[in-house]
Amino acid sequence: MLPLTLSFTLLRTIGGNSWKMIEDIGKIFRFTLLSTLAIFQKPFYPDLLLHQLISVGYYSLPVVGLTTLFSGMVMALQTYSGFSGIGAESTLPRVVSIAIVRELAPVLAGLMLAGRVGAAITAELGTMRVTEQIDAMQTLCISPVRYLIVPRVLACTLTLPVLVGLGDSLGIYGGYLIAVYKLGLNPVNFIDHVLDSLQWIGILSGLCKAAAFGFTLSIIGCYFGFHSRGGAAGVGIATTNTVVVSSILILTLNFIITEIFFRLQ
Amino acid sequence: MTHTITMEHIAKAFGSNRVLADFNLHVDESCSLVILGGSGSGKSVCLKCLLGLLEPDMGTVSINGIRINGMSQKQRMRQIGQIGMLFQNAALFDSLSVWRNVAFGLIEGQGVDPNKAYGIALEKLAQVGLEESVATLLPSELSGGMRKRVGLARAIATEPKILFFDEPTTGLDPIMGQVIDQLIVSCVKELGATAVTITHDMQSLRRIADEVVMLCHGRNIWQGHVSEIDTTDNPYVRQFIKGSDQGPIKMPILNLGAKEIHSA
Repeated sequence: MLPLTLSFTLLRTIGGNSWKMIEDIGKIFRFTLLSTLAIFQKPFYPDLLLHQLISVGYYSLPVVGLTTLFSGMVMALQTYSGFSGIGAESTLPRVVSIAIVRELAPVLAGLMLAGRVGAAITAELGTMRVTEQIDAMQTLCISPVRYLIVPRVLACTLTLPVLVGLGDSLGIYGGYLIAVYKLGLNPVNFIDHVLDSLQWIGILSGLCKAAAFGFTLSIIGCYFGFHSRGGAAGVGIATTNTVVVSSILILTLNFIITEIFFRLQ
Repeated sequence: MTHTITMEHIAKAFGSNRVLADFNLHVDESCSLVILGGSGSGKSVCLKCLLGLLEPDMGTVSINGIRINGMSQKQRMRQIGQIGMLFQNAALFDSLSVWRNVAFGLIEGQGVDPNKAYGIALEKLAQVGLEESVATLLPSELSGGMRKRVGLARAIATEPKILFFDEPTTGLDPIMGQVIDQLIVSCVKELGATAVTITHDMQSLRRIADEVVMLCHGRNIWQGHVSEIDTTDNPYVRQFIKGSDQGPIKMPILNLGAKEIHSA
């Protein structure tokens, strides 16, 4: 009798959790749709957008810059140690530039921003929710979606490609520093190989990924912040959820977009 | 336009927890009604249904005879005009200065020029007894009483004809509580507004109420003029006024294994 009861309990738990997950996915889709539609609806808040562009873009420059610079340096060292054994050191600039532009810069920038910006969005909106500031905004007939969410989503979607563009340059520069000053490669050859290997579709795929990651992490950050419950502990849980869900979605989207551009090549 | 408020057969549940059940309420124009009730009796949910922050599962909420359930805040404003609300903890916007908080509805909601809105904000701050020097401070730099006053100034900034107050004296010392009550009374009178306040503070109730509704287990169990509250023989009201644990109101105490304290 006991195993049967346990089986039912287990089934009920799995069923309950699955149902909740499906419900959550539906709510996130609905929230995404409403937020996207709100981008095109008046009133617009250009001063808030500018504030968010500075907050997301300018203040994330050091994080993204340092991450991509060191990733480029590591990539150069690892490629050299792996490829020198088969006499293929000359491929180092090509490998570094392709890896940085197509994968490392957008993915690392996306993950760093999920931690820095996504978590901050959730914490800010979550605090506003639990202290009734969002309710107060609604009673004053201001749409919280247009006032709070649209500027954040637009700022993240617009600034991440710019940050990734800068990250691409810094990552390749990091690879250049190691290749030329530590490994003794010819600097002119390095630059020539990098320019040869960079194709417009590769750059475009990196920038498309960046925009998609920016949109995703901001929507997830806003969703969990907007639906925070239960005081400080609830905001903490929402912030953790944002980082975890955004990171998983960024890696999933990375595969999907890579697959799409792989077919286009 | 008259500003009567009516709630008919309102029911609201969260999962299996039934908070409001067949709740009815009528507030006449320019009347100050206080909803009285213990913790968890459904007062806040009732107010959120009135504000449109929660949709009731059943029943209708009408203002001036217009059913407002399901309306967006914009539609609601077009139909019944602006509503003012003072939240329990003031709910001031942390990132905005005091004057921007007061003028928020004017600038962002009604498109009033910021210079003009600044003047109105100072006027409203003066009305609640705050000096001009407070205008540029951030909410984090204010005391609890000052936050409530700024919240009140924000609630009346758009000169609404309907005002709601959520436990306006909670967390304040008795003197500041009295000051806030007097400000509420004077603001409501000056605007000629219809006001609904929720509280469990009996002193506050006697200062601001014209009419009183007692809410218990999600139902309106007594309604009358404030002068009748001391003479009523309703056992719920009598127990509440006395602040006694002896009577029909049962308080679940979770650390006693969800037993209820009562000996009716």
